[in-house]
Parts: sequence; structure tokens; C-alpha cells
Amino acid sequence: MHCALRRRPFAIGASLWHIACTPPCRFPTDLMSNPYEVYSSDAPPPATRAATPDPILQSAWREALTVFGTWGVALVWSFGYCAWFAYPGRDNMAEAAGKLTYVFGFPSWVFWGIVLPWLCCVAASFVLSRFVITDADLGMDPDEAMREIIGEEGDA
Amino acid sequence: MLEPLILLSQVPSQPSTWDRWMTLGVLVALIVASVWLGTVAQRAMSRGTFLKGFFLGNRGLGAWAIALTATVQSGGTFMGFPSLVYSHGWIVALWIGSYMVVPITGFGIVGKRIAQISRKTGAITMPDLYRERFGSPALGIVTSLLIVAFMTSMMVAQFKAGGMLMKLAFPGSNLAAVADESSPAAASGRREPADQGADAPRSPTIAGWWQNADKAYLLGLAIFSLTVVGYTLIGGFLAAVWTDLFQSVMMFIGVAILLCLSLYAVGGLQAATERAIAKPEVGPALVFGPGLGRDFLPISLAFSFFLFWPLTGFASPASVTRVMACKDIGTLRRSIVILCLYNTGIYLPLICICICARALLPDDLVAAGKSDEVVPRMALLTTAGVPGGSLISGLILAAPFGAVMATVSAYLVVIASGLVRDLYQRFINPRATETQLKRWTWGAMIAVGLLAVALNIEPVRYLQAVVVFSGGCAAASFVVPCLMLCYWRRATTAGVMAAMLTGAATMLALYLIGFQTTDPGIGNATSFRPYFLWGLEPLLWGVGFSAIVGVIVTYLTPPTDEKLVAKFFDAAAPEAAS
Repeated sequence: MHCALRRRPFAIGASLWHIACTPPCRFPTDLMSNPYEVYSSDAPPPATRAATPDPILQSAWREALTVFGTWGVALVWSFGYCAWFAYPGRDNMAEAAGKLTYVFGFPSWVFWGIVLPWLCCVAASFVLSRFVITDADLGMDPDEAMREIIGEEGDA
Repeated sequence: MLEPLILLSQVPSQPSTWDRWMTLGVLVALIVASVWLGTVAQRAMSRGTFLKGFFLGNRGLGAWAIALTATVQSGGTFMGFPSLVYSHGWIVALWIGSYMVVPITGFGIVGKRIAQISRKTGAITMPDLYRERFGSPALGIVTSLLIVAFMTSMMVAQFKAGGMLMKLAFPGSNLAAVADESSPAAASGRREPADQGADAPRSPTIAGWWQNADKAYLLGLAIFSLTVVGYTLIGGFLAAVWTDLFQSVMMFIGVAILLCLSLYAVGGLQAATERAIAKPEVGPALVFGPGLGRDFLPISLAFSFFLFWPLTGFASPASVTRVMACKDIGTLRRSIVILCLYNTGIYLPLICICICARALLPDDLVAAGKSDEVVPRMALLTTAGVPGGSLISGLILAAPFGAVMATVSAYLVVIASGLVRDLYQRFINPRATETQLKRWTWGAMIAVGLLAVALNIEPVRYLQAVVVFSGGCAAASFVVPCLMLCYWRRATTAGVMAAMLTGAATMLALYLIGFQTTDPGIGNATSFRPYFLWGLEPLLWGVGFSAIVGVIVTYLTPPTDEKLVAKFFDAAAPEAAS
């Protein structure tokens, strides 16, 4: 097992990502349960339906995971950095203030722990919205569809 | 760079009458523009059915409208938040830091699924979504009641800010009148003008009450209420959205101007911090956690707030309604980038402005109990002597007024939709005609507006705390149910309802315990405080318990009808699609 981990770390990572991106009809907690239990007796066989999950659902779930990941990275970076450098303790504040350095006018912990990750999040939001979140046809709502049919018939 | 500072020190802290008239003029212009947008919106929405047009803008919102109208800015953005930065220093940057991910979490986690499900079901409101997704009218009504309860309390609190801001703009009024209980002065027992009325001896007669009443505030409250209820009544959802958009742009311009003026006046950001630290009442605590004055943000709360803001964003009724109204996914994608840039341009500059205020303003506003006045005071101070300064200060002062109006109009629409669409049409008169629905909607909005005015005749106390409480309760109630609705096939009506009620109950319980216990010395200084179990914000407990109970109850109850679930989780059959 250890050898396999050493040999194929990327493959294992890819597999985990694949599991995470499995259509949400079997995720998250359904993985722990019998997948057949969600189907009533008169429903079509699960294999038939599992083969055709809603593509918008799949992409939305994958994108949601990516967004949760981004949130996690921001949390670790921003909160982690600030927790380490912004809390010298009440008794040591005067000494810490004496050693305080500034980056572009911001106290250094504010710049490296808030401003820089904030700017990175702006860049990440651009990348995610441009390259990760995909377009999809949302369809028409029932009223709209009905109006269109009536309109077409009226036109005819 | 000392010269501007010396000049500023000679500027009186009270603005001249001319400045007041200019400020009032800008606010009146804002009001006129908002009403005009309401009438334009009324014409635009008339092409669809009344309900979908009034409550959802016929699903035609573009990227700018979605991004800048997600009700992320409220009265708190320009009153409560600057007050916190001024009072507690740079650590408030960490308190608000998670706004860096709010745009992407707000639209990226559930946005696409909400937009899809709302179209599949024809849902117009958030309770519609829950009702149709789970086929349960009971779930719809529970959602409606929770929304109406939390949104009403949040909206009522905003009316006080609107009335106070109008009062501030009147020539001859006292600038010091704008403050709320979030200031440490109030928490330490000193009473502010707005609060004094709450417990002062009441006169038994109306004439006696009128004699003692704060007439400028009452006039401000009346003008504010008539304006905001009026234009929302005329144009519905689109009016709220368009005025919100217009006001958001005003806010952005105002903050950008104020940032430039403040940095010029103090000689740069580093100089501002150093000057502020040198003040005897400030000291080095301005730069470090847990904050100046009291332990505003210990590490446990810093962690909590990195989760708090994104959680309050993506499942809130106002945000979900916006997402349901979007044109397409491309709109959502563009909205993320726009909102990200907008938040960066509002919050980081506001922090810098308030640090400059610590260095520039001669008085200690915290000790005086006037820390909410940071932005108006900086606007008046830094524009004095600038060509067209009174106009610029009017523009800057219009920002908080616009933020409050935008918040109230958005909540009015959500509350009216809850009452009319989800209660009246569903349970009282399912065959209501368009005219009846229109009359009931107008009636509901006027009734809610009158209720808010009545509750604010004696201004509500704990404005900022009520806003945080309502937002937290809404998030604790809807975050887990929203994820279950979008992504969990096995989710059941009982599970979702249990998750909603558990989230709300946890929040209420922690607040009730907080009222009974002594001040723990952390967080905001207010007597309307929760109990911080293990030092964490109650929302985290609310969401955690909501998730646990939701999952357990779901597995204990039979699955939802497979035909219903398949509609939302499976690809449409080829014949159905065609």
C-alpha cells in the first residue's frame, strides 16, 4: 500500500477527485448507504437512471467543490497567517509595535494576511468564473413555455 | 505633508448651514431618482404576469444588477462597520476578511442549481422552491414563516437608520445625533439621544408625547418610509434592484473620493497608523489582535467570522431570490467578478478611511459615544476647502442613506412575496385574480411599512445587534436545507424541516442564554449579545446542529417520491427534452 502511494500519488489524487465529482445523486452521504434504498418499488431500475444524471447537477456539484476548496485555501492562508502574526499578546504589544513593518502603508500582517489573499481571491474568482464554471441551458419555466406555445398558436 | 493636517485641524467639526443644504439637496436628488426608477421598473415589469414581474423581474436580471444588488451593503456597511474599525483598529480587517470569498461562494456553491430548479418548477419565491422540490406545502409555509419573521426584524431595524440619516441631513440638526447602541458608550451605560426616548418617562397624553418627541427624527422617518415603500410599491422587485444598483454605484464613487481625500489629508496610510498609535487614548493595540479597547476579536471569533460572512451570503432569501431572477449562467459568472471587484473597492478603502479618521479627527468619538459618525465626519472634514466640497460631502453622505434604502426595499419585496404568494395565494385564495393579488401585495407592503414606522416612533435599540442576529438566524435556518435541496437526492421533507427548525432554535437558545449571562468581554460591546459557546459565533453551532439533525431525520424517514426526485436529479428523457 505504501509503495502504491509512493508510486502513484497523482493517480490516487485523481481518483479521490473523481470520487468527489461523482454525480451528487450518490454523494455525499448516499455513499454510506445502500444506493437502492432511495428508489421506491415502482421506480425504474437504478442502473438505468444512474447512467443519466443531470449534467447541470454534475457540473454544479464539481464547481461547488472547487469553490469550497478555494474558501478552504483562503481560510488557511488568511486566518492562519493573521493568527500567527497579528496576536502578540496584550503584554507584548508595545514591543511588537516597535518592530512593526509596513508594506504599501499597511501593517505587514494586514498586507500578507488580508490584502494579498484578497487580491488573489479576485484573480481566482476571475479564473473560476471564466474557466471552471460552465454555461448551461437552464430551460424555460412552465409559465414561459406555456406562453410561448400560446403565442405560437396565436401567431398561427 | 503636514500642511493638509494643519489646515484640517482648523476646520470646525460641525458643518455649515450651506453644507447642510447641499447635503439635503443630494439626498432629495437621490430620493427623486429612486422614485423615477420605480416608475420605469413598473413599465418594464408589466410585460409578464403580475407575480413574476413584481417579485422576480421576469427572470431578466443582468450581471451588474445581480452583482451589485445582492444586498451585501446595508446601513451597517457605512455606519456599523466604520464604527468597528475606528473603535477596534486594524484587526477588523480580519473580522471582515472573508468577504474576499463571499462573491464566489455566494454564486458558485448553489447558484447554478437554484437557477435551474427555480426554472424547472416555475418557482417565484424561496418557499416556492422548497415546496416544489419536496412536494410539501407544509415545508413551504414553514419557510415562509421563518423568512417573514427574520426579514421583518432586520428590516424594522433599518428604518431607524433611515430616519436618523434624514435627520442628520436637515440644516440645523445636531450631527452628534446619529449613533446606536453598538458604540461602547452605550454599552457602558451612557445613553444616546435615540435610546433615551426608549426608557424616558412617558407622557400619558398624545400632546405631551408630541411635545417631548424628537420631531426631526420623526419627520426623517416619515420621509424615508414614504419614499422607500412608495417606490417599491410602484416598481416591485425591479424597482428594488434598479435603485439598489444606482445606489451601489453612488456608494462606490463616494468611498473612492473619500479614500483619496483622507490619504491626502493625513499624508499616507503608514503615517495614519503611526499618528494614531501615538495618541494616548489609542496606543499599539490599534494594530494588533484582539483589538483596541476590548477583546473584540479573539482567535476563536476570528475563525468564526471567516465562516460567518460566506454562510450568511449564499442561502439568504434575498440572495436566493436574486439568483432565481438571473437571465442565464453567463450572467452569474460575470456577477462573481463584478461583485469581487466591488467588495474590494468598498471594504479595503473603508478600513483605510477609518484608520485615517483615528489620526485625523480631533475628538475621541468612542469616548463620546459617536463612533457611528466616522464616515459623515470624515466627509465633512476632508471636503472642507475643496472646490465643490459640500457637493462631494453630500454625495458621500448619500451612500449610507442609499444603502439603507436598498436594504429595506429588497426586504420589503421578500416579505410581501412571503405573505401574498406563499400564504394568501397558496392557502387563502388559490384562485386569486391578478387584480386581487396586486391589491393584496400593495396592502401587505403598506402594512409592513406602517408596522416598521410604528415600531420606530420610539427608535428600536440594538440596531446593529438586531441586524447581526436576524442575518445569523436566517443563515442558520437555511444553509443546510439549501444544500440538501440542491445536492442531496435522499433528502426528505422531514429532514429539511428539522434542519431549518434546529438551526433557528439553536440561534434563539444561544441568544436567550446570552441575555442571562454576564458580558464575556469578547465581540461587539452590546447588551443584545449571544452566548459564545467555546468562544465561537452562534451561527457555527446553528449550522452544525442543523446539519446533524437534518441528516439523522432524513435517514429516519422514508425517501421522497422517486418521480419527484428524478425530475431534479436525472437528465430529461430524450422525448421529454424534445
